Amino acid sequence: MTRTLKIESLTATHRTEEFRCNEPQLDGYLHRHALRHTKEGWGRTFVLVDEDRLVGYYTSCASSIDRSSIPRSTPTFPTSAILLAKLAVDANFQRQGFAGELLMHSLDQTYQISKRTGVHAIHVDALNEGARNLYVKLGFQELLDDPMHLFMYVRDVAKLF
Amino acid sequence: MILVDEAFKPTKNEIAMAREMAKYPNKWIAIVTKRGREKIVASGDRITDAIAEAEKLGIKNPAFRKVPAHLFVQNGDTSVDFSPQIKMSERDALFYRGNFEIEREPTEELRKLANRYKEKYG
Repeated sequence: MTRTLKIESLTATHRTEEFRCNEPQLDGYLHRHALRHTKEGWGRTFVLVDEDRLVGYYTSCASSIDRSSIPRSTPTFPTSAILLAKLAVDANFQRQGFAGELLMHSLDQTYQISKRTGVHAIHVDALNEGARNLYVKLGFQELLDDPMHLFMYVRDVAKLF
Repeated sequence: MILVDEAFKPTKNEIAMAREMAKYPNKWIAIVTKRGREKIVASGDRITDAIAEAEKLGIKNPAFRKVPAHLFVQNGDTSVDFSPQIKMSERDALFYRGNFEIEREPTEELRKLANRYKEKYG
């Protein structure tokens, strides 16, 4: 059977309450805050849906990186960036490559934004060592002051699209 | 007013140094500066190896850097940031590791993900 997967902006019609990734912090954010944050502009959440099942989600927002934390910083002001704040896949759909698809969507979005306004990097806080290793394998670099906080230059992201 | 691009424009010495560094992927290197030019004087897999080699050669107070696994040097467009040149302790060297500009190609894993994503979602 062919699946009809799509990634779309979170709305009130999505059944977020059924989502469980087994990380309470990430489940709680989607259940209680993600929609409000999307409406109020604190962060935008995109969901990956399979028919009407919510497979995974990510949340991103405009951000900046302190100039002392990134190898090539601007001389006097923070580095413009997109923060990939959350990314999670429902426990029933894990280990099927969906996290990678959500990550690629966020990189694509970042690249599209960078064509309209200055964005120098995308950064992410790894939840644990496993996540950190995955980001490193995909080419993210550690920030200078925190090995769990990783980034990728947008000009490198652009080579993918 | 200094344009950002101008501020990051590498000097000939920096480009030459970047080429030298590219010979030591993933290694710690010890650097000394003589008459305004930097020179790699020792290297090792770990910073302690680079320190030991530098000490063995009688080199005083070199700066230590970790060379990334992928260091791409391009004519005219290299922007390797070697400033500030800091005489570092091992702890500081670890903190400042990678404190220079590197041009990266997407990893094989990321390219595969991107291709799969584009096929699936257009």
